[in-house]
Amino acid sequence: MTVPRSDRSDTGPWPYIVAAIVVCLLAAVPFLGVNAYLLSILTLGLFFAVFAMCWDLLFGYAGEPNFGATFLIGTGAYTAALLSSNGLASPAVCIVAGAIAAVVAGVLLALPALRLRGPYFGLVTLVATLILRQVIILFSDYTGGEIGIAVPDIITISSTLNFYIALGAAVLTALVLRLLVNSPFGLVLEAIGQDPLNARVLGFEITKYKVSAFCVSAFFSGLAGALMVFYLGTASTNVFVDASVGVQVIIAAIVGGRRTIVGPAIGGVFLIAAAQYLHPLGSLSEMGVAVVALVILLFLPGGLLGATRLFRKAR
Amino acid sequence: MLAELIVSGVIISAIYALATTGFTLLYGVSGILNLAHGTTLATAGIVAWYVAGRSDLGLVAALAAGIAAGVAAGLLTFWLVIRPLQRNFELSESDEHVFMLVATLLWTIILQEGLASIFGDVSVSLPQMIPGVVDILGVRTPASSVFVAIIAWLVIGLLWFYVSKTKSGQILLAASINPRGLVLCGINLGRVHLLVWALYGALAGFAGVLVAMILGVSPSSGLDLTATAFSIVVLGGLGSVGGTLIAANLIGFIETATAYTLGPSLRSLPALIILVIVLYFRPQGLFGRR
Repeated sequence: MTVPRSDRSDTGPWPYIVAAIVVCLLAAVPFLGVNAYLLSILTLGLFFAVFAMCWDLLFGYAGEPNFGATFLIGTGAYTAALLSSNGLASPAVCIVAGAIAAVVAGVLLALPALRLRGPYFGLVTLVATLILRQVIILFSDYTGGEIGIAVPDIITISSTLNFYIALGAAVLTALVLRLLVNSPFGLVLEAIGQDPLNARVLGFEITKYKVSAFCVSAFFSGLAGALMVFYLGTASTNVFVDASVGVQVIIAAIVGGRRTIVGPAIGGVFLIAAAQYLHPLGSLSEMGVAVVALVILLFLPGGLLGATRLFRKAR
Repeated sequence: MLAELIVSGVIISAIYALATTGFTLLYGVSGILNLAHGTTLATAGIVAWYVAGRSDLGLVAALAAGIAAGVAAGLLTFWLVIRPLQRNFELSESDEHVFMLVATLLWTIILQEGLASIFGDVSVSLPQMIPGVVDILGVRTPASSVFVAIIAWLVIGLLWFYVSKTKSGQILLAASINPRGLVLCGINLGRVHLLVWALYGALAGFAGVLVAMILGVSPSSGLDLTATAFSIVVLGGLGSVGGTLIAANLIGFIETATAYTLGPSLRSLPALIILVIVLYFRPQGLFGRR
């Protein structure tokens, strides 16, 4: 049984006002005299926010647990890096090509994987990541194997500009995905995710909707992956094509609050920031983050955003 | 070459078979895919290695310690992760499945980092159980490896005997077929779940010690072991113990053949591709019921 949702009717304009204020505050961060280190963490956090939002579109709405988020991210990142390191295209073209390649990869993954349900779907998406990683290592003459490829071009060396690029990507993704999930398309997608049988009886072609959701998710994942390559200067398998990075994306989305798009964005920034904050603890820092995430998962299934809703209800 | 391949394929497959039966038994009875499985194996292997290096009792003590560690890890997973999630009635069924997977993955990270900070993040392997080499089909094989393969199959045989010939084994089997019917017969399902988690822990503990003998384990090798176990179990069909045993041999031989012909670094690639192809044509796995 799914608990009926009430947030669609009673929220009013407040969430949008809060979101606008948060974005303005974030945009002002570089002027508040924060150091470059903090800015770089926020930049990475915002890229991670994009990944988590894309995952939420697939799980929260379409009901498909994608354990291979890094398959889409990695395809975008490596496409951009390969084009750039061979001198074939300018960064802007590389980034667009990365996003398009991710969409193609998303369709190629979705068509066979959507025949499967639940854990089987999860496994195939996970295996897709493992296979991509092995292929990259196999063709290490071109891809640099586990060491990775360095890209010769960068967009800018200014940490402030890089921060704004990440912020722009995150805000654009959040806007598009929010509009999408509140559109008729999004409502059908959510209906399919919650009750595929009834949705099919109503005459909706499930596969078409799910593949479209995959395309959107892949597009923004690939875009952010490609942008991140130019920010980091290298594409390596441990950052872009790693099953455990895919798991981190899932953790960020669930900790933030699934089926909200905005929640996973908060979760993404939170996870990266928490890992950095706990860094002095050494190997225990990852454990600390995992414990916090597990406690949130077990006792606040709505995530951090769900906790604020609980608070509102209590009043 | 061919003989070599067969001998090491048989040994690897025996270990894979034992290492995945617990995983598939747990899924069959309680419907939970424990993604912390590989790390449970690693925990048992590392604890056994620690005890073997520090006690005079040798490998018997190490094996006992490994099994105890496996049972402890299994019960802790059940009490700290699975129970709280099952008691949360706000979650829909499909949400609960994914939450279960994510929670066990987080538990993997916690166990892994805990092990790394206590024992150090290094790969360990247990000493050979018995010295010497034996000659099989003209291949010189460490006697210990042969012994391990025999023990693995013996334990699987014991498990089969337990499930099909004893009363509590039959209860486990019934729980995997129709839990509601079992409750109607007056059996406490909560205790059945506790039993299956303890049994799972013991099996994983035993398997973990054997894995540490043949392949070696490290805290961070858990996820790779889980991926292999997951592939084997899904290939055989979730919840089907017979299917798991066949799939374990299939994957074991394919991996060994790949390692011999294409090189060890590509060891897992063909098995993964075959897995995807099989799932495409038979989404329920080779011997799955649904």
